[in-house]
Amino acid sequence: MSTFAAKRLQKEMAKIHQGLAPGIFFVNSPNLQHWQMDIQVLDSNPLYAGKTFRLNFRFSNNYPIEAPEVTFIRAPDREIPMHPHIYSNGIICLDLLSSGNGWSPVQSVESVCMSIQSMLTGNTKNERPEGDEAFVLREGRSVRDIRFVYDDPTV
Amino acid sequence: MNRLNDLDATLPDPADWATSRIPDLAVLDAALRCEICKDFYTAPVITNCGHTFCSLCIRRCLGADEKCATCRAPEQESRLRKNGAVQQAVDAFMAVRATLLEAVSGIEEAEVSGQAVNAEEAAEVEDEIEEVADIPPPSSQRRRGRPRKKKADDEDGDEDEYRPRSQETPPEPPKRSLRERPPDDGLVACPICNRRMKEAQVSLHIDDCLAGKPYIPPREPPSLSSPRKPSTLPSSSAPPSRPTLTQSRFQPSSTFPPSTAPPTGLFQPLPKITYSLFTDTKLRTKLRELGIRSDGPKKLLQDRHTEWLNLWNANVDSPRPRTKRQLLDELEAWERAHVRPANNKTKAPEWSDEKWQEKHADTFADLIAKARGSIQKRRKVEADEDEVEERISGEVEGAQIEQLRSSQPPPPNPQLRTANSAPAEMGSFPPSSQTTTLLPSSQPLQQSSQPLIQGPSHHLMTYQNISRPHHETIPPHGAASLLPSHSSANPYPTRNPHPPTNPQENQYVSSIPYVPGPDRLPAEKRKYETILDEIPWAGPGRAG
Repeated sequence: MSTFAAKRLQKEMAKIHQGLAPGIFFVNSPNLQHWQMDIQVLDSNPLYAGKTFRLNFRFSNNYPIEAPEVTFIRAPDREIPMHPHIYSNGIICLDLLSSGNGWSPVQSVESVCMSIQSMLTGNTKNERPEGDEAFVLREGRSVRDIRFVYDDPTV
Repeated sequence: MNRLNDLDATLPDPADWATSRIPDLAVLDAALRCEICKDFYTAPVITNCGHTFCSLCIRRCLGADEKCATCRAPEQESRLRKNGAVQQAVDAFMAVRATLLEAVSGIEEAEVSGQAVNAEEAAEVEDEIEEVADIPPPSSQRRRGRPRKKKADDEDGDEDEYRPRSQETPPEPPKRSLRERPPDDGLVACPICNRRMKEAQVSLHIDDCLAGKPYIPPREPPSLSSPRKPSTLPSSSAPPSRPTLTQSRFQPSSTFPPSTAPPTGLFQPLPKITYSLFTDTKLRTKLRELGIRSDGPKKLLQDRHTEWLNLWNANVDSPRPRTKRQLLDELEAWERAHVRPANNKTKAPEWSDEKWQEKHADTFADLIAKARGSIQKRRKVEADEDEVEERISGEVEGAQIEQLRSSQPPPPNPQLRTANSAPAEMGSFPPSSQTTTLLPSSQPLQQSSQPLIQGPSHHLMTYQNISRPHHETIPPHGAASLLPSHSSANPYPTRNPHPPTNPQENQYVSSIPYVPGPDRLPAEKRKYETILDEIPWAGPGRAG
């Protein structure tokens, strides 16, 4: 891992240990390139009320120039949230998470968590994206290589 | 990475101020940090939209996406301008940060006021200190670890140029340390002439200096010394005669590299290049000219060149430029961190071919069985047809060869082509040898069955061997039919007139590639394609 990325992640880690926004929790990080975070939706959205979801962060050598790979993962008591832009394998279709689209190096782990939090908060549809079954079958791909089309400005 | 662990404990962070008596200083601290690296600005530059970043950070960003990192407005590298005011503010703040932190984080009151009396840094927070001076400092919150470890960390001369040098600054009066912080080059200044040199040389030099001799720098890369010549600093107290003396005395000497460039010419910004206009060789030459590594594929050459430009141009923006050697070291570090296996891209890190194969073994087996079944069925039908044909063609074959001999030039024989099995070779076959091969005309049956014996290699291929059945692959029976079949000599259709002697051996698919022949029967083609369509590809791997 490049010094640049490592330093930046160290700084974020230090900041995380000093406190996080409400509803965001640090779970663990087996190494610097791989973090897990828990998020909760704070308002009373019936879809997500009382549930906690786990996010998996994977950072490349080029972080923060390149966006991290962020997916929801299953764990005991942690499901993949229902959302029209979240596939049942946890892959999130959000322009913010894509280098060259919405990602900016100014973002951080915490700000990404907050964005996803607000993405869930604003959702009212209890559904998966179109073509979810087919998409999920094509497992084994790196999230980085998936070309999404970001057509929903309401998220 | 041991360094990371060190960093963990000593990273200065805006939150350091949270527990101090002036928590609002965190805002000032944060304001002097780059949003990309979250560290204090290093050679800050300002974008057209008015946002400031470290030169290197924003150059790297723009290389990936030509937008301002903060507001996403379109931006170009060439439009970045140095932000000198921010640089000064950062330098000033960093020079006092450690002291300030100690001052406001709960030392005894007397100490605080004592330090605040003459220190210039106190000016900016004087008011606040007076306000809070009455509050008894919570001694438990005193932060002693950070500044002290910081020193040790900085000592080993890593690339962190602009971290506070608390060890260097205190001995000097605060006024000086603010105006011109000593450059971070590991050198020390001569107390008399203020020239910078290695520590070991100072004592020797002092004698010379007192005696009025000019300082003779030891052999070192010119880039190291020249941009930092004290004469270029505003408060220079260097003897005016020295530069000319040194030059006249040592210029011809071989101990100096001949390429002693003037300080101004040393760090000129490098222009970007359009990589699509460069061939590999030209790009390699370019890299060699720049003095960086020139090996690797073109993509790597490009990336390396881009990174070198970023490093170099950021260095140009820096008020304390580093040497080319240091930049090369940094490029080398980049190289180590960024080169990853070429095939890494399409697979997720936890992907495993074996696991996939294991997981879908049932599906694969099912597909293979289906494909086998459909081929068996088809073969049965064909075998019946061939039996009839065999009898007819056996009779005709003799006549056919007679005809071949008499006609000039002899038309190519379909059987022979099957024997050779590679359509590409067909044209090169000399007509004479063809006739000779076919000579034993008395045994037409034997002759025509030869292909099956001669070329077993192409029908021994099992389904297990075929990784992906595709439309170019056709069964052995079809092979003959693909060839231009209706020569004048052979009035019969192209199908191999002889059924396989051993059906077990021949139930597999041939590897003969399909070459569209001029008179391939459309119906036949359709038939084979339908069969092949029944064999979905069942190999392991990345679907997609």
